Amino acid sequence: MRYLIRKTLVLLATMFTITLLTFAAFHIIPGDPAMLILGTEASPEKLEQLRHTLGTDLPLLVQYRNWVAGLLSGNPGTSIRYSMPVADLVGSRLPVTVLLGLMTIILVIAASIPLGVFAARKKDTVVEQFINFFTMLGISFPGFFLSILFMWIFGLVLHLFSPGNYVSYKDNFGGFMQFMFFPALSIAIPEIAILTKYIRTAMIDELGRGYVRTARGVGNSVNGILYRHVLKNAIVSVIPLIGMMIGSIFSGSIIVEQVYGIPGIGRLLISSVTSRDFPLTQTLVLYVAMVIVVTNYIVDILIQLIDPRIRLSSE
Amino acid sequence: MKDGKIEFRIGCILTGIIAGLAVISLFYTPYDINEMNTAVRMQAPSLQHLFGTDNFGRDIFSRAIVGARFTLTVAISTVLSCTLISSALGLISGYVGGIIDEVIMRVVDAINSFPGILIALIIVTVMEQSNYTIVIALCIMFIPSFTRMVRTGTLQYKNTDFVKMARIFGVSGIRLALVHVFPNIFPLLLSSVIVGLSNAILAESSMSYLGLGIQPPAPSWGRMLSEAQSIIFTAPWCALAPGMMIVLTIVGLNCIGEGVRKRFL
Amino acid sequence: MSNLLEIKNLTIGIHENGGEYTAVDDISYEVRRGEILGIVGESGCGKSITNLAVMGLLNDQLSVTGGEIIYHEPAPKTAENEPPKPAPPPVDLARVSARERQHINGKEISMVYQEPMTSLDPLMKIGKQIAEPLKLHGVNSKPGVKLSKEEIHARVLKAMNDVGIPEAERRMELYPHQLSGGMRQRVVIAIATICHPRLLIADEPTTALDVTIQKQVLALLKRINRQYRTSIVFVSHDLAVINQICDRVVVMYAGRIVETGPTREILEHPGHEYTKGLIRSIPRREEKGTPLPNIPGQVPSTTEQRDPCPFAPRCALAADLCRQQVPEAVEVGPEHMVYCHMISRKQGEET
Repeated sequence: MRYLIRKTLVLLATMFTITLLTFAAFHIIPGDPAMLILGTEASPEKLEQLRHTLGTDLPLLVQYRNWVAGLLSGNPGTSIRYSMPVADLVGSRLPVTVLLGLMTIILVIAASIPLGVFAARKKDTVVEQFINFFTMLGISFPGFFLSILFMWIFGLVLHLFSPGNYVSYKDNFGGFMQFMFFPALSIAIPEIAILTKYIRTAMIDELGRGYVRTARGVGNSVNGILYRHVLKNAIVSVIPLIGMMIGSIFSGSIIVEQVYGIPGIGRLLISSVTSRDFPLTQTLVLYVAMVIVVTNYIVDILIQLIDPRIRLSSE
Repeated sequence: MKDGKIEFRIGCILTGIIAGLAVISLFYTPYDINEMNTAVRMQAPSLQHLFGTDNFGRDIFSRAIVGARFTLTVAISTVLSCTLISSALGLISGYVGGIIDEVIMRVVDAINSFPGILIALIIVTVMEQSNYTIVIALCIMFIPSFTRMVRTGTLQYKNTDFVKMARIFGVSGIRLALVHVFPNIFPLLLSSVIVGLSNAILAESSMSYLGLGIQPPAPSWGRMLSEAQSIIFTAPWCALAPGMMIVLTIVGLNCIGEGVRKRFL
Repeated sequence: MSNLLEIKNLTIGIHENGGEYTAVDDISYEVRRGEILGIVGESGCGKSITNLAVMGLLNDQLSVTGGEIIYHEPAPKTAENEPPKPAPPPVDLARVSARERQHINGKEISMVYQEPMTSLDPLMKIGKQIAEPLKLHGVNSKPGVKLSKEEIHARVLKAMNDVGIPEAERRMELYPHQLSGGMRQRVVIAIATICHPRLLIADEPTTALDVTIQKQVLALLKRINRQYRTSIVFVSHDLAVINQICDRVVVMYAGRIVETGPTREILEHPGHEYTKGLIRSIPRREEKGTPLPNIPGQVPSTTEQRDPCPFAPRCALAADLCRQQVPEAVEVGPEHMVYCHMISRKQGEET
């Protein structure tokens, strides 16, 4: 319980720091956003007008207060480019990115656990060398190159999906999932490579422990030892890593959404960056950071629930 | 054969080839990289055009090796400046401790809670576009992990007997940090530098794929890929050439990293 | 008493760093039904390795390179009106298949390990861990009937009570890290004995425990031996502990057996110089204040070249013969064998 309170306090402090940092990045470092948006040749009147719309003519502290108040009340401002409330823009795209992220995580876990166990079983054989080679290759492919390859091979050559024809999850959920499979796979492959490697190492570590000898001593089969005892222990030791992957899965989705033309948060973020839509970028960045911090918080709590050693000693 | 030697060799050969091509591109490229020749549009790889030509008839091999130069330059300058800044921050943080350590580590933690690409996007948004923007963006992206590592290493060695001994003999703080502590965390730093290089290349090519990296007309692998995306069906070599260059470079660096790690750590 | 286990000319090799060495060299002994046999020797003498070989738990660097480990499985129990069934043929445990091994381990032969802290799965409730061998072997009072959940629960409770775990019902739901070292060792013993194996190997089961807990664990092992007629191989480096519970002793030195015999006989009339040294180094109350004698020199490492009598470099009586020829067993008392040239020479002179 004390752990939970401490973790929650740290979470709140981190969230506060994130709002400060985000605000600072967009308001202190660059100078005049109006100038950046309109260019140095813009007329003073126009600049003045834009400053007023952006609210940048107010004192910084007031701006920060207004922004945070807006965030808390669900109204973080208006996008310049879309002339729409930021909240609406985010609301319509969030489900897409969340679904993509979930699909990716499921793929990562579903692939790397069996692969990691397999690699550990085949320790010191040619098969292990093969798996090592593929994990090395997996972490070396940038997500967008994989995406382009997949569009070419699975989309254009094999016709497993039609690139560019995004299917909305509202219209046709099945079609949406089918379309999203390859984007999710493009993000997942490097993560699968990393996680497989870690699970393999964790399995081999665990196989050397005393309880494995006890399990063999009472007549367990190799499978019984691996699946009843070792796997659980190995997974518990890699859960923190899965937490850390949330951030990189999101980073991956920013780029992959761009490649496949998926209207999610990532694509919105890139378009806001390229069109210098400050209010939108600022809020998106904050949202993303918040989501990641909160997910990590949840993963931390989950570890507490799963691992009896931590769970019970903290009581 | 010693552990990690094979990896190290393969890695050196791969990165050596790519780096060699990048250096050659300074003095010589088979074709001008911006020369458009409509007569040879979208030609498949041949002896005249090793990697084929794109939809403007530009030679992809020439563009890819010049791209290597730009990407590697960005990656190396990023990692170099990041290593310098982080080493200083980490050494100070670990060696001095106290409130300074606390402040540095809190800021580092806060930056760390953003995904890397997000930091790069923020910097690119708020700064004027230039060829340095991407270096600064990537540098800030890598500072947290490097600083943390140097700090941990420093803390470890700060309390070892030989450092305590040196302090008894009246060796000054700065000298201790630079002469005694720093060399000992060097292998760790070296392997992080190599990992950092491969991460910087991945990040740079992602950013330039998004059109936020090196400014046109300079070619970079990421932008070549984004240009090739629309013609992938008719001219796959346009995407494969820069893509495979990225993959080979990363594989090479990862191999070296693995070799160093197995050997020293 | 008939033999349950016979170790015949067992040799175990180590292969590490490209070299081949011998960890256990041509040893033979037997474990009889219902007895407690002690195996004593300094660490590294091969006593643990020998027993891991019996369990088939040697790690990758070790392998049986010669000899046999013969297990005589007794005839299965039959109902009173049925004709007695014949005993199954003896099996060589050094060469059994993985499947046969799974059938034997935990059911016929079990082991208790030295480190109770690491021998249990940290993420499994102890009740479940104690139940595991039962589920694996389906040991049942009525053959052919699968154990019910309630039955397993009852058997686990009984096993926990048997090994002296109080509040068994509550403790079943705990995880290993919530128990003390002594309690964990009891859990390990419960796991090893829940199927009532014929042979229990206890590899320094008390070394990691407090002295008071040691006494309790020894008493527990003795009770298991009496109650279920379970043969026990008790491995220890401590002759004082061996003396408390063992019927017979095997003394090992540097991969070889140097002396075997009934515990009392060996302690009162040790034949081998090494055994004499071991007995001298047991602290005694009447020698309080005098320095504890020790055996000069060191145990040779497994990678060193050894003399045919491995104790020769440290032995006060060693002669050239000891460095040329492996000593044969000499009977010096009832069932009391000593592997020493000097003793056989003395006997030869007497006759």
